[in-house]
Amino acid sequence: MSGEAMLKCPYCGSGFRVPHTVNVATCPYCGYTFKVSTGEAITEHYYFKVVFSSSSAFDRLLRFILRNYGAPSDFHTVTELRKASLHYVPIHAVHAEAAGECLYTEGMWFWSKSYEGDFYEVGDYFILANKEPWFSHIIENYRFSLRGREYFKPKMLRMGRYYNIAVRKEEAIKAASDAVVRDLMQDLNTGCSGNKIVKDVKTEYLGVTHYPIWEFTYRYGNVEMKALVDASSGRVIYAEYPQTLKAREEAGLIAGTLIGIGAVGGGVGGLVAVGGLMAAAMAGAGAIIGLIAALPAIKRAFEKVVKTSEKVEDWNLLLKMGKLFEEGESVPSITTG
Amino acid sequence: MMSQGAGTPPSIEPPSPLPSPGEAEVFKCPNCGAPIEVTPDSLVIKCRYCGYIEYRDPGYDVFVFPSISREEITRRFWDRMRTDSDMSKYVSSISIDSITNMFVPFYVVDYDAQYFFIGEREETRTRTVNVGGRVVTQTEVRTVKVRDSGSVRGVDAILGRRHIEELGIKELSTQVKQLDVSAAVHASKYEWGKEVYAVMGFDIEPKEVSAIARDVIAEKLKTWVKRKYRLDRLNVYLCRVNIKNFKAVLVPIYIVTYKFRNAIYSIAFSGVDGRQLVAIEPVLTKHLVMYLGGAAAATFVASLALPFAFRLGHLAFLSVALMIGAGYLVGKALGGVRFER
Repeated sequence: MSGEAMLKCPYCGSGFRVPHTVNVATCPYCGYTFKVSTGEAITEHYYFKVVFSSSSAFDRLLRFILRNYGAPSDFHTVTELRKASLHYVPIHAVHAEAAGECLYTEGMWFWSKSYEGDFYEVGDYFILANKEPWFSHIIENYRFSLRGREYFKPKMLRMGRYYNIAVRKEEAIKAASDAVVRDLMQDLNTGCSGNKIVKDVKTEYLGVTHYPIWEFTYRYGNVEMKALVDASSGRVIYAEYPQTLKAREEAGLIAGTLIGIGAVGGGVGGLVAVGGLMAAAMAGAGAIIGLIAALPAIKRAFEKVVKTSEKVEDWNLLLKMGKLFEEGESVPSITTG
Repeated sequence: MMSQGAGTPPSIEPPSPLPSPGEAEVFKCPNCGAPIEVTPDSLVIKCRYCGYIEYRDPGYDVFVFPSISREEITRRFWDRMRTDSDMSKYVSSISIDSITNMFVPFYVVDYDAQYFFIGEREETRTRTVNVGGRVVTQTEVRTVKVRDSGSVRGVDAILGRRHIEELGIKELSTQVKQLDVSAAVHASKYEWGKEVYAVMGFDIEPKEVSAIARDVIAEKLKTWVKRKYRLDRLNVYLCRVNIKNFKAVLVPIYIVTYKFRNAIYSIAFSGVDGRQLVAIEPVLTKHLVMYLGGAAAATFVASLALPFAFRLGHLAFLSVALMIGAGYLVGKALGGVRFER
């Protein structure tokens, strides 16, 4: 077959085919994972177990969709499952640290004074090791469940669609190194208006993890849709559902009402503040305000199929504004020079 | 990190019996001899056959906050539903789908930090003056240089696992900072009980904690300094974080998933005291009325204020803020669920 190479497992001797792009292959007979170029074993190889079977994950998906605005109330009874596939997607993990410095000079000539501030950035970066799945852009920043990893086992090769490691470890390390420098620069940009210097970057490869994801294809009426469900936690990563006509009409009504309220508000304000023809212009400006406020409803009014995902946190002011520090005495103990 | 045969070139001839990669970690139960699966994250392992539980010492001290029982959480769930102003009317239509109990690994870090900064703040002053018999509002913007130094001390909680996301973890980390760590029990002495399924350990090792904590605390302190001094720009920011000590702790969390009108919703409870961390709840008709009424009021005031912005410039900001607020409320109304803390 073109685009594929024949490999011989260095461990059990079995022959198997893999795409040319694959750098790390897993033997489908014994599960040995090795570098294609050298045959060297990959030891930092983990996977997450399937906790949610296809039926329990699909049931969870249907019940998740039911809680969304505009989902048909009979969605869980009418929807027909067409296909369920388990994907094991490989993700590299790299720990990266970067050190930087801010050099800031205040004043000029003899009256100038210099300050040096150290900045550090520490982070773990997770890089998709195979971009072949159609949903790779959806799971790029997806975070793992709290249910824990296991050491790689050969049996998982038979459990679903197993993706080989196509992105090399070195490429993942380079991507993590670039990402930590980018984060460091972001940190420096918000805390330094002088010269910004990246002094040192360190990386440590933590291993590769195969993560299980259910892909469902289902049909409601004549509409065929797709969803992705985390097989470890049951969380819905991505889902599509048909919006009822009633819900779309309601969304349209909400949008129209807000635009009308905006126009009335702008018109009344215009009459009081400026009067005359300008009041009509102000009514138009008010309608635009209403239109912008109504954007989420306008979007809904035109959507026949809605794309959604299960969020586990929302933007919360209280969490952001919580008491962070207990202040000590004001002691200028940092020497600046 | 694993260390099975790292760096050793593979043999072409398979050794006998064939130890498949990863399966070297299977060991036998000291009680009944059955095989027990050990994972890289296993801190406590349980024999599926005889129920034998063993704590695996990771080489550093781990403390556990005792977990309240599943029965207690079930009771708290129903108490909450019966007394909740939104859900109390629907108690008979609610059923529990699942209750998951997990221990979340955290490092509780005790630190002090010193900071110094030079920054700039833009101050806007408005005044009304009489120009040729007309009252005109003038706005003056000036940049003020601010510098200060100080010290802070505190406790922070650093998650002991990489790249994870679960309902209630952020709220739990806020609670962990306020807990008395001396109330936690050493993991080797903790009575795990028969109910325990698996307890995951730390994949961030203690040697990494100081560097992570320094980065996190310095960044938070920077945000705090900017907010406290109302800075628009930091010219230079120096921060020295001293980690005095830290402890590895396991904090229990319960996630209760319930069914209501065939759909599923979840509530995260702290396993330490059973307090609700966060609940995902349905958007009911009364919430729809509230959100859309709020959006309508905000839109009206925003557009009403706009014509006056020609005279009073800052009303334009109010108008934009109200418009964004109205859009946020419309999004909430059509979001399907509410987050309640």
